[in-house]
Amino acid sequence: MSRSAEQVYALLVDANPIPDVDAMPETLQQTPHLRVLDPRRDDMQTQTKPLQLEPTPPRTPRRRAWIPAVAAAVVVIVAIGIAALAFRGQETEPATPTEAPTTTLVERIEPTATGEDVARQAIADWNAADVDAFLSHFATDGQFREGAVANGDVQDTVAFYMALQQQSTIGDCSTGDTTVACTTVTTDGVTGPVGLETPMLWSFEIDEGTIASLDWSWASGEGSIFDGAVNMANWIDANHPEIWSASFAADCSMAEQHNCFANKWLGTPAAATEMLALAPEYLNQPSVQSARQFIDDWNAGNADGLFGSFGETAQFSGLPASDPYLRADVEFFMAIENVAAIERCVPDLGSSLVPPLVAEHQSVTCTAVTTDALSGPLGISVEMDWIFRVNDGVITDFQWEFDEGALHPQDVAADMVDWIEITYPDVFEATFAAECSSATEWNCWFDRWAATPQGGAELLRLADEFRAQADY
Amino acid sequence: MTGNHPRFDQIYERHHRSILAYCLRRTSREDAYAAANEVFEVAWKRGGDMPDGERTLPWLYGVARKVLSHQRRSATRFSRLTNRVARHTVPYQPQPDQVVVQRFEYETVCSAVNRLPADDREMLLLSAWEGLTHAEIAETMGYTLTTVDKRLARAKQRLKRQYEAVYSDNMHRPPASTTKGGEAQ
Repeated sequence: MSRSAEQVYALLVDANPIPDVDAMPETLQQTPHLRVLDPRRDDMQTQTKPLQLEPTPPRTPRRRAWIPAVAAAVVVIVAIGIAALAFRGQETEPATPTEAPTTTLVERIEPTATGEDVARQAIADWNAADVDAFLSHFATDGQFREGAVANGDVQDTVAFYMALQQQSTIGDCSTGDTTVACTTVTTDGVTGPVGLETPMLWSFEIDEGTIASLDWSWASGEGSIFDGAVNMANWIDANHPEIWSASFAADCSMAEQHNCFANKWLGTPAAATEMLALAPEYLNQPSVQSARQFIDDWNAGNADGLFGSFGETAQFSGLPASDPYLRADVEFFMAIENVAAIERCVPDLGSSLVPPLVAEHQSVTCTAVTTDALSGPLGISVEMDWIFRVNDGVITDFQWEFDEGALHPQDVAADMVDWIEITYPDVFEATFAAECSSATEWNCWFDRWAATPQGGAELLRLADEFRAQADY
Repeated sequence: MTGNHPRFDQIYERHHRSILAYCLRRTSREDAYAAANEVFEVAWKRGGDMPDGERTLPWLYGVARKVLSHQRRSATRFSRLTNRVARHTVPYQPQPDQVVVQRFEYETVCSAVNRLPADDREMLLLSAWEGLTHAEIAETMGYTLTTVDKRLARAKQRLKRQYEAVYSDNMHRPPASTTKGGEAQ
């Protein structure tokens, strides 16, 4: 597969769901491939992420706005597969057509106990970083992720991940005649300390008490620890060339060497040791500091500092950051003391296929719990991802993501303005009411009122009275 | 939606389908109709601000961009007020029976364009789907023509890279079995 930029662009032209506007009545139904476009990734306070369709693996990393929905489809398939495996024993009804993608996986699992014991012990040995004990569970011709465990580079791969302190906490295991599938939540020593976890499925084939094969699967593009490791290696290449040369760089081929990453570096215990040593620096690199400073400015109500961190053509939730209505809206949130408590800020956790840190724009995702002075006393807050793209310390793009359906602090603010309109119409007329259009003025809410710092101050003044009568 | 304003009637007649198509390409059918109506409501109210001639449609596209963004602000709150049910049926949420890829290449290129920075994506779609000239894109997005020329060229290169990446991702990483040696392909 090799296409020029113009050929890919031509493909995009062809992908137009409504190529002929004049023929629109016949083509109004959206074309299926458009589901991969997220029409809301540029929204401001209302940035959302897709709903989980199946039981959620614990602490699934949040979806980033530019993650391809093809990966989302993979998430759905894996999630359904995991759920189907976990609950298979309780299922009494035949699979519906919508469950078809997982049917094969489910049908080959049958109950046994011995295999599960082997699987659990193998994972325990993995967590204990005991390479020999782990490998001892395999048959002599056993396979670890498409590589023969007898091969040295396969064993190096195992040693690399173990040296990277990869740990898998088992959720459920489902067993069949010769198969065991265990759901896990997996971390490693680089990103684990900042809270990044990856739901994984360990799929074993076990023959007479030994592992014939073991494969992993996880949702790609979700900011997995594996992507994090690859992105960190890119960062080491760019920022610590001497370490890169000594411990990573290799003329290797992924097709031939199991522990060859990106056709350019080898996963070895020595490389893992370097990664662990450099992790604090990696996790606090300048782009991360820029992101943290942005949130600090937000929390401090420092609009000048916040907007000053943007580059000339920067985007803020899809709008030019220089938009005065956008700034008024931000200052409104600052006036009601909207604050974000950072849980973590981590660089470039998307798919490793996203341009790496050495590219023009570095990505940083901060996860923070956000509330304000109106909704905080009501116990209302929302966990949001603050997603940045940073170029040489200057923020070039910023947007939010949060769970759809959650009660958001901004909803409380909107409810309160409604209450003011009824209870204190004079205040509403004087401070909020505006002949405005939400289509052209970002701080125009519902075409009825304008969010301004002055309005925020009024909300704060009346907050106690509002909360006393509110019912959330 | 028509009124007594002869110019508005003419503009509505001429551009409504284009604006509706723009919205349909970016959101659900239901929301697209609402958004298109809102665009022309703005045009009606702000007829005096609306440029004439060739610049009218880009101006309307610019309004449509904001309308679609704001739509979510209203939608989320409305959703909560209606027990947060309505939004759960947004067509963009992939259903299990919809994950089968019917048009692999289209899906791949759409995934690729979705990975691009917001401005890159919007420029490409305005060019590829709305068929706007560089000058019209500049009008719609508030940039100079030179800026659009340069950024669109770079956006195409980025699209190519992302297309190759998504393509490789899809070809080599089936859902139930990942490839070896990390995820750096």
